[in-house]
Amino acid sequence: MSPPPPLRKEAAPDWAALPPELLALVAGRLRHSVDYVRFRSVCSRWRAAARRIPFPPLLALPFDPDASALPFFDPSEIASSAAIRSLPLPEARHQALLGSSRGWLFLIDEAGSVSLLNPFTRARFCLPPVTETLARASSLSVSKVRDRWVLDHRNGKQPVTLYHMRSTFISEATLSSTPSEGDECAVIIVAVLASSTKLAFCRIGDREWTLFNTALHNFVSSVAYCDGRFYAVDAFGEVCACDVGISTRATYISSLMLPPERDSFRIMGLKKELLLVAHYMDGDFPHFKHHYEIYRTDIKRRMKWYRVDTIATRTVFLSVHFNSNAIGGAFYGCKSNAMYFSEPIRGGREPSRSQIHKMAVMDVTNGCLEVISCNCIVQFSREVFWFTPCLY
Amino acid sequence: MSEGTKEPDGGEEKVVLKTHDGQEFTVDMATANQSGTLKNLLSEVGSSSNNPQVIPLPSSITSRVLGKVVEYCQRHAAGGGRRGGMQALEQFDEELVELDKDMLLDVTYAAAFLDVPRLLDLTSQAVADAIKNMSVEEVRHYFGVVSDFTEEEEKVIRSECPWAFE
Repeated sequence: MSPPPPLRKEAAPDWAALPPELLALVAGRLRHSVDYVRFRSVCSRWRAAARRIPFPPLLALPFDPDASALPFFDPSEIASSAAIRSLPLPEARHQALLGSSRGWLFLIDEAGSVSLLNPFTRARFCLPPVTETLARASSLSVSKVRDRWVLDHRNGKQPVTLYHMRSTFISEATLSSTPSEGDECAVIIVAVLASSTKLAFCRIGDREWTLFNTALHNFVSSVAYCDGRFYAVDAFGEVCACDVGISTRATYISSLMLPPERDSFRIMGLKKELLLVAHYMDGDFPHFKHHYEIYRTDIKRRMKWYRVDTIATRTVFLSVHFNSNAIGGAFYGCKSNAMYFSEPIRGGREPSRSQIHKMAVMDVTNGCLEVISCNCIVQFSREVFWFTPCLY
Repeated sequence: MSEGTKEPDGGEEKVVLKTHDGQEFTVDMATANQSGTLKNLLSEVGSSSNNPQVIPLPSSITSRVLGKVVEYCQRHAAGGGRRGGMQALEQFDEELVELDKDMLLDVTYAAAFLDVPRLLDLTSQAVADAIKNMSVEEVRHYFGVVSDFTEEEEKVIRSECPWAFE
């Protein structure tokens, strides 16, 4: 059969009038969060048709507090000559980033004001400022001199600059849920302090942070929220559950009883289960070999941990600099049953010098590593962290 | 591979698809069965080689558009087992949707109307790929979509994600 000659159509095709179900099909095939946001901004019909779909976390690259943009790397673009993109973020000028939770960034300025910012919607909430008490929980003595913090050191006073905020006050924080318009009062924020067995919490709108004791004997390294409770892990892999809110209390849960060389533990929450990632190194400088072990527990079943050699279709995203990490399933362009982790950025702090930031992807089951490099300029902070796009 | 191809070939059974502009496409049952809509219809009315069923199509499906859909269905009725296997089939799919935007829209409508899910997936992906890396204004211009946001809404959207417009 020979194809018939093309015939003119009477009416021009109308993309705006495409039925919602067809628009939704197209939206569902957009693979990158940034393209998805653009799709939603075209017109009201396109906006209504674009449903929530999960996008993989993005790796926030070192942030220059004098700039107004956050550079990031999209792991799903590894296959297609990934470029460093950036999100304009004028609100973050002259501030340091304290990591992220549920797609929201925690910002702190030199005066110690803390806020929560969604880099995609630019929605922003103020959180209580840091205080002497928060630093004291990390056994640090600070005072405020003309709107700036100074650390009372044995050898005298030392200004607490933006780069020292994480190691003085709050190192990172976790949200119980996503603050959306109207129900932001229900959100609880738990902050991991610089080096403390205590945690601090607040709600959006609170005037101050409330400190509380965990049932842990060592510094808390990571906190996750899971099914109504916060879970904290310390530097030795001990875990406690924290009910935070009207009556705040922590209950010791369990110890993994691992050999002592495990040097870091990160905890992450899924629907009804917790994952604990233990890291250790062996070998000699500079040929260290990194090892990761994953333990899992069902919170409804007596919190017994067992080691797993697969996380099925899930992917874990780890950063060396932040302990709160991202986890999710079946992200387009990302490997499943894999851990993506960022290595420390090597090299000095010379401005404008391009350093290779290496990222590695590890197969959870066989431990095989694939190293990926993304060029990024190390200027100010050297810290990178994952943030999951929260587009609403 | 859809159910249609697993059924016995249907011998000489044919069906005629007639477009609004008067073109007739005579296809075999395996090809027609790639379309959920045609399959349902034919299971009720039947068709034979002596007296093939003539199915008139709505005006939105021009002969040019139907030509594309039939091309897809014929190739997929043959399946990946022939003509170079799955790889060749994937390449065929890719090339099939290399269309200008108006044609892409028409084929999308036709695939939806005729219920050819995998063709619909292909065209949706082609649209998504076309939008990739375009700014909002570029998308609007490319597809001729006029924003119906109010001035106020547009302002809010632009302030929320100004980078989407850059």
